[in-house]
Amino acid sequence: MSAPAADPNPDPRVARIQEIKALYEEELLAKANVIGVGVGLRRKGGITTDEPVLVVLVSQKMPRVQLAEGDFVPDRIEDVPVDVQEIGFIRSHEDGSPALTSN
Amino acid sequence: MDEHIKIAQVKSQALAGLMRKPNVIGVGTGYKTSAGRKTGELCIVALVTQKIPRAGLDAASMVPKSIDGISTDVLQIGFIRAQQARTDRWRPALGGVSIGHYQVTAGTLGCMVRDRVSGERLILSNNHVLANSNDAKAGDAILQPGTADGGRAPGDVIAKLERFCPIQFSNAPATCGLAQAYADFGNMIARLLGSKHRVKVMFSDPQALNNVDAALARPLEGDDVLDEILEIGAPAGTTAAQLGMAVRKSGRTTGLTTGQIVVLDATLEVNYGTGTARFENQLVSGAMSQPGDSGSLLVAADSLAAVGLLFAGSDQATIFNPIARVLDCLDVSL
Repeated sequence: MSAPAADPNPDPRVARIQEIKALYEEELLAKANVIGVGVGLRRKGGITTDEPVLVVLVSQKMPRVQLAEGDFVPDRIEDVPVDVQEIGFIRSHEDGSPALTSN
Repeated sequence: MDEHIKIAQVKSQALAGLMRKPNVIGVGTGYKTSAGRKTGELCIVALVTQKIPRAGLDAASMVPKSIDGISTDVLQIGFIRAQQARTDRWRPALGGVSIGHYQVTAGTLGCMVRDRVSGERLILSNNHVLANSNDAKAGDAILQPGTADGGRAPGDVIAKLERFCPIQFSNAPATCGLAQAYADFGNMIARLLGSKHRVKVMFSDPQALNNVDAALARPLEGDDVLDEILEIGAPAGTTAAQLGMAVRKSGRTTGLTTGQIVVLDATLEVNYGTGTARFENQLVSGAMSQPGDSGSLLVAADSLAAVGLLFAGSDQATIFNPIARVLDCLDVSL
C-alpha cells in the first residue's frame, strides 16, 4: 500500500500520453461538455484499472447520438488510448457553493 | 474497608482544590506509576496538559504527594478536544478547522508553513478562502471560525491576510478591485509613456492559466495555531502524487476522508460562481470533499508527506493543486 516516492523507471506509456495530451489538449477542451484533460487510469464498470490512459473529463456523459460530429471524443488518439470520465460540475469548494448539484 | 470507596471519598473532597491548580484539567483514580512502571497501588490521578518539573511550580500549584493518606500521581494527557466541532472556535486552532476572510463564507485551515526567507510561521489555505478570490488586500481580517460558522470581528480574528497567488479568471467581469487597481496602474504608465493602448478589466482569455489557488495569513499570535492537522498530525515534507496513490485529507465539512489519485497533470476548468478559471497540472481524486473543505491539505495515506491543496470538487471528484507548486508560488516550505 506504499506509494512509490520517486519512480526510477517511469512508465513509458505515461510519457507518451503526456506528449499526446500536450498536442491535442486545446482541440479536446474546445469540444462541448469537455471540462478537462489529464493523465489517468482507465475506469471500467465503475472500477479503476491500472491501465494509464489519456483521460478526457466531462461534466456529464452523453450518448453519442446526442453529440455533434466535432464534439465526439475518439477512443484513441494516434497510439494513445482515451477514456472519457464523468466528474460532475466542478466548483470551488468554499462553504455554500452549490457543488452538490450536477448543474 | 473498601479501598475504592475510600479513594473515591478523598477524591471528591480534593477535587475542587486540585482543579483550581493551573495546568490540572482533570482528576480520576488509577494505578500509580513509579519510575515508568505501573504499580498495583490505587491512587488519585491528576490529569495535566503538560508535566512541569516541581522546581518550576510554586507550592500552591503543586499536586501534593498524598492527600489524607492516599497517594497521588500526575499524568500528562495533552489537550483534550473531544466534542469540539470543526466549525467551532478553536484556540489554539489547527489544520482541518473552519477559517475564512471576513467577506468569505468559510473554508478550511490547511496547515502551518514557513516563509522561506524570514522563517515565519504562516497559515496556508486557498486564495478563495483567505483572499476572497483576489478581492482582498494584505492585512484584511481572517476569522476562525469563518463567517458562515458564526465567526465575527474582532473577537474571532485569528490572523491577517499576508499574500496570495492571484487567480486568472477566464471570463470574469470587472468586479475585482485588485485587478481594477492593476489595470489602473498599468493605464497610468501607458498614459505616461504616451501609449494609446489601455487595459480594460474584462478578462476574456480562455487560455489564462493557473496552477494554484493559494494564500497565506499571518497569525496575530504564533501560539494561536498549532502545526498539527486534526486527525492527521503534523505534516512532514512533501511527496509528488502518483497515479493510484492512496491519500487523505482533514476538512471543515467532511472531516477525515480518504481517496485515490485517479488523474494527474489535469488541465481543467473550475467554476467560481463569479467566473471560471482554467488550471493546469492538477490532481484529481474520487469524491472526498464537500463545500467548506476548500483549503484542506492532501496528505499521503501511509505517511505525513503533503501531496496537494484541495480547492474544488463535485459530487463525483475532488481537485487539488500539487503541493510543490503551491509552496513555490507562495515562497514557503513545509
